[in-house]
Amino acid sequence: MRFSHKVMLIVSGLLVAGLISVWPYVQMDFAESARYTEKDTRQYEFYTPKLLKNMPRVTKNYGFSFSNVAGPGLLIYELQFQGTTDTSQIDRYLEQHGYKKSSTCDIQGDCWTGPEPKVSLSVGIIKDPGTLIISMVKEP
Amino acid sequence: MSKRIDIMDGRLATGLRGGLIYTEVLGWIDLGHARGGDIIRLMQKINAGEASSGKTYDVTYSKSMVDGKTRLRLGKFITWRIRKGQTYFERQSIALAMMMTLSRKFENFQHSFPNNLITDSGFSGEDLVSDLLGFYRIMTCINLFPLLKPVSKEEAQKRWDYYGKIGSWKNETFKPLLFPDPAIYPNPQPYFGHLPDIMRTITPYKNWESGNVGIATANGNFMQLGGEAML
Repeated sequence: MRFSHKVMLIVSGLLVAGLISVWPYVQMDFAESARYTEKDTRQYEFYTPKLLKNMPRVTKNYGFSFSNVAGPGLLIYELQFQGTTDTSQIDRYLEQHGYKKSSTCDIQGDCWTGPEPKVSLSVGIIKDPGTLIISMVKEP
Repeated sequence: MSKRIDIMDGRLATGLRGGLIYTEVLGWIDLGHARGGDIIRLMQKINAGEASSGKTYDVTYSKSMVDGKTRLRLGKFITWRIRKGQTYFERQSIALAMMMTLSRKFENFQHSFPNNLITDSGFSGEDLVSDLLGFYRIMTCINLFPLLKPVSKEEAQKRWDYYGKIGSWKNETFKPLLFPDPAIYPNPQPYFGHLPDIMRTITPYKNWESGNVGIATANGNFMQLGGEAML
C-alpha cells in the first residue's frame, strides 16, 4: 500500500472514531428531554446542574430529568425523590447555598429564590404517593 | 416534541413544572407549556404600560426555542400598541388575544421547513391547549388540576401506546383533543372535547374598531446568541 493511502486510511479511521465518540453528545445537545439516573454517567454529567448533583440524597429511590420547552423557551432540570415528603435536609442545603423560601408558590410545595434572578427553584411536595420534586427552571 | 419517557404520573401534576400528563378533560398536557411564566411577564408589561407616561404604550410578547448549550435562541414576536386606560378585564382580554395569536404563529414556525425536519412539535396535539391552561392558571390563581382529572402514569402510557405519539396528532385549535380509554371503548378515535367553564371566562380581545389596540409588529422573527433574552 502506498504511503499516501496509509495516511488517508489512518485519517479516515480517526475521523470516524471521532464522530462515533462525539455523536452521543450531539444527540444529547439536540434532545428536547431526557430521563436518567445517576448511573447513566454520560447524561448525568451532561445535563445535571451542580446544585442538583450535590443535593442530599434523602431517599435511595431517585431520578433526574431534563426538558427543553420550546415556546416559553424554558430549560427545566428536575430531581425526584420517591418515598418521602420530608424536606428538612433539602431546606437546609438550599439555605446554605443562599436560597430563600418565597412567601408564595405556583405549585404545591415551596418556591425558592436564589442568587441568579433568571433561575427559579421549587420543591414540590406530593403526599400520595410520597414524592419530592426539586425543579430548577431557567427562564429566557 | 414530547416522548413516551416524558409521561408523568398525573397525581404529581400539582408539584411538577415539566413533563407530560394525560387528563380526562384537556387530553395531553405539556406542563412546561402550562406553567404560565410568559403570561406573568406579559401582564407585568401591560400593567407597567398602564402606569407609564404618554397616551399609548407598546407591548412585545415572544416565544422561542433555545439550544441548551450554545444558548442560541430562535423565535417569533408580536408588538401591539395599546391606548392607556384599559380596565383589568380588557388587559386580560388583550393578553389572551396576544397569547393565542403568537402561539399559532410559533407553532406554524415549528411546523414549517426546515424546523419540521428536527421536531414534530409544530401544532402537536397538546401544545395550544397547554398554553391556554398556563394562561388560566395565572389568571385564576387557583389549582386547576383537580378539575382536569389527571390519570396515572400507567393509564397515560396505555393511551400513548394505543394511539401513538402525540406529536403525530395535530391540533391547530385551542380545544382539547381527547383520547378515549382503549380498554373501555371499542375501536376508539380521538375527538375534540369542550373546555371547562373556568377556561372560558375570558374572551380574546376583538374590539379593533375602537382604535384602542393596534398592531405595531404583526409577525416578527428574532435570533439571539447567548445573554439574557431581549424580547
